[in-house]
Amino acid sequence: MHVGNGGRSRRLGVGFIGAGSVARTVHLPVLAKLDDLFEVRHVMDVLPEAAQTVASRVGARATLSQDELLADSTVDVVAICSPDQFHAAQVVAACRAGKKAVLCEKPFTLTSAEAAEIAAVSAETGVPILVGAMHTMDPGWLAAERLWHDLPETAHTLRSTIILPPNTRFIEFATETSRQAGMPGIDYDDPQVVAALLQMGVLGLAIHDLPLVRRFLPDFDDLTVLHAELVRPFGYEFVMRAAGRTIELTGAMHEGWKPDWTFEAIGPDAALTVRFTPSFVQGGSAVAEYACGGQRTVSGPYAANGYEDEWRLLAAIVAGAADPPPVDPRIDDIRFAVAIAMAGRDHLLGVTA
Amino acid sequence: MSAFTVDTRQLPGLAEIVASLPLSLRDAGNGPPQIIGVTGTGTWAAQATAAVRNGALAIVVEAPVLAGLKNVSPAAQSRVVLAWDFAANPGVHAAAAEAEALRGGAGIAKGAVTVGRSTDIQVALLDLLVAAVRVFGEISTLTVRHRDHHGLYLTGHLEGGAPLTLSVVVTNAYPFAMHLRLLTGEGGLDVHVPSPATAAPAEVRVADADGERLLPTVWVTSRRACWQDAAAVAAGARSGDIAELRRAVSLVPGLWSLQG
Ligand SMILES: NC(=O)c1ccc[n+]([C@@H]2O[C@H](COP(=O)([O-])OP(=O)(O)OC[C@H]3O[C@@H](n4cnc5c(N)ncnc54)[C@H](O)[C@@H]3O)[C@@H](O)[C@H]2O)c1
Repeated sequence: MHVGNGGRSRRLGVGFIGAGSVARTVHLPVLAKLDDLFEVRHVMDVLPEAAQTVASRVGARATLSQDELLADSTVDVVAICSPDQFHAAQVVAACRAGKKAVLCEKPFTLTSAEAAEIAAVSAETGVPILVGAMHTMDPGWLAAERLWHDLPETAHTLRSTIILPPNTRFIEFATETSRQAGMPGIDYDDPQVVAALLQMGVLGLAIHDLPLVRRFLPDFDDLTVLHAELVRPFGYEFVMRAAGRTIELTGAMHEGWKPDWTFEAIGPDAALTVRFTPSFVQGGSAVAEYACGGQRTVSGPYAANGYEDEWRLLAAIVAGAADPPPVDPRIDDIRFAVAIAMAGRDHLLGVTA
Repeated sequence: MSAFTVDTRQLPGLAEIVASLPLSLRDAGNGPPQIIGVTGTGTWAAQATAAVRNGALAIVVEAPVLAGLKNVSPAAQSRVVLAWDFAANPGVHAAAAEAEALRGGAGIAKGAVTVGRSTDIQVALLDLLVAAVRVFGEISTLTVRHRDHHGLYLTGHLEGGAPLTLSVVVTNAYPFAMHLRLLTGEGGLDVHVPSPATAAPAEVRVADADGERLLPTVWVTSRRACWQDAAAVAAGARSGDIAELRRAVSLVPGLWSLQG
């Protein structure tokens, strides 16, 4: 989608809350490309060096104070790129500050209660919120939507495979989880550590594609985890049932170079395969392939990807050229993710409902 | 070695295979065939046992069901070649050879077949189990997690503890295929076996720190490869297929009762 730029002076001012790797490697390059639409004006981080580094790259102000950034009238939209546990409170604060829109990195929140609170605040303040679930905005995925006919009703098997080279953040997190349990490395023999890692796998990695899985589920009230297991060094394997579908989630981070990020929906007569780029990749969308009766239709790759198009959508929403996406599905995404994470944990620890 | 005789009317499409392997096989005409082909329906084990008793040198059983496996006579055992749609593909043997060095470092293993609605799910599962045993080596007892007319999911572990998931999924969306994957710290092994209807090769890829290697491809259907194996058995080689199937079946307690 393209929004008329209306001159550089009409660009939207962006404020970053959290200036770590996602802000630097994903959003700054995208905003550099979309410089007719956006200008980074203020950067906040709890680490002075992080805020300074990012701010100086784009000629923005740096601050350690979230309040200062939110009070800055040149900041029109706020991008929340802090660690997961801060997202909810920061989204709410940005809405209350009367910003024009908020982009929140995934995961939106860590509990469905927080998600519901955000929805209420968004409705009350009228501030649109976009969750950085980049795959739902990937042009390859949107092309899949146009290809898939009645597959969401007929699919019986859904598969999400996320195999990625190591992401130091996950590894550090994992090590930290163990350290909290008093272990120097990751103690795979401690069921609590293993369960915590599994939950992290769902809320940190699987969560990228759970919104895609949900498109093929009318509901997930009867979600049952039939099997859940940690994949070492970090990953997960789930076999689940919900709404009459079998769902397989595979996640694995390894030391190798070869990624595979694939979503599949398979029905009696048709099937969809969407192959995504690894995360942090700029340029180039997913490729969708729809197969039916021996015929295959391929769509993509397109030049842009979800990282870019989420910002374009944000600009369009602020300009009134696009409707803000409803928040409810995003709340259900969180409910779904939390339900899987909890059921996976129970399964691992042998807790029966 | 002279070519062994086959009754090419025994199974559809056999004449073509025999004609394409002139050094190994020839049409028996009205004489007694040395190699027998049987379809893997309920009575295959009795047929194979009787054929060996009557002097057959090798028996090819196509897509065998489980029923009767217990009844294959000891004399027949080493003469039976099981013609699996996927597991018998030469690519699976090539993958097995590569996998040996990789299994110890496996983080996760997967096997998945997609088959059409007219396929017997149990036969597809046996095929997948045999392929999994070939490529992944020692496997723990498997648990059936879900089963319905759309397919089947099983989980277990490799000898080194890596999780293993096996699935059979039914769809008419695309041609049948099997995919095996062994993920290791540095890369791993990916095996794509195409529909048995095509001679298009299985693709076996091995990834490590230096890149990825596609093993040499062989353009042959698994069926033709099996008839080649049967000629070798007729010439004196011993087939391990029955023993291997018994081992594969023993991995799924209750598989006997999953029949139907
Ligand atoms: N969409 C994607 O592909 C993708 C990829 C990676 C991460 N993420 C998400 O982005 C978020 C950030 O991840 P990251 O990889 O950049 O992590 P990171 O650790 O590299 O960066 C987080 C930054 O936030 C700062 N910070 C900590 N507490 C803060 C607070 N209370 N307020 C403001 N800043 C604070 C840290 O100092 C750090 O600079 C996470 O929620 C993560 O899930 C999304």
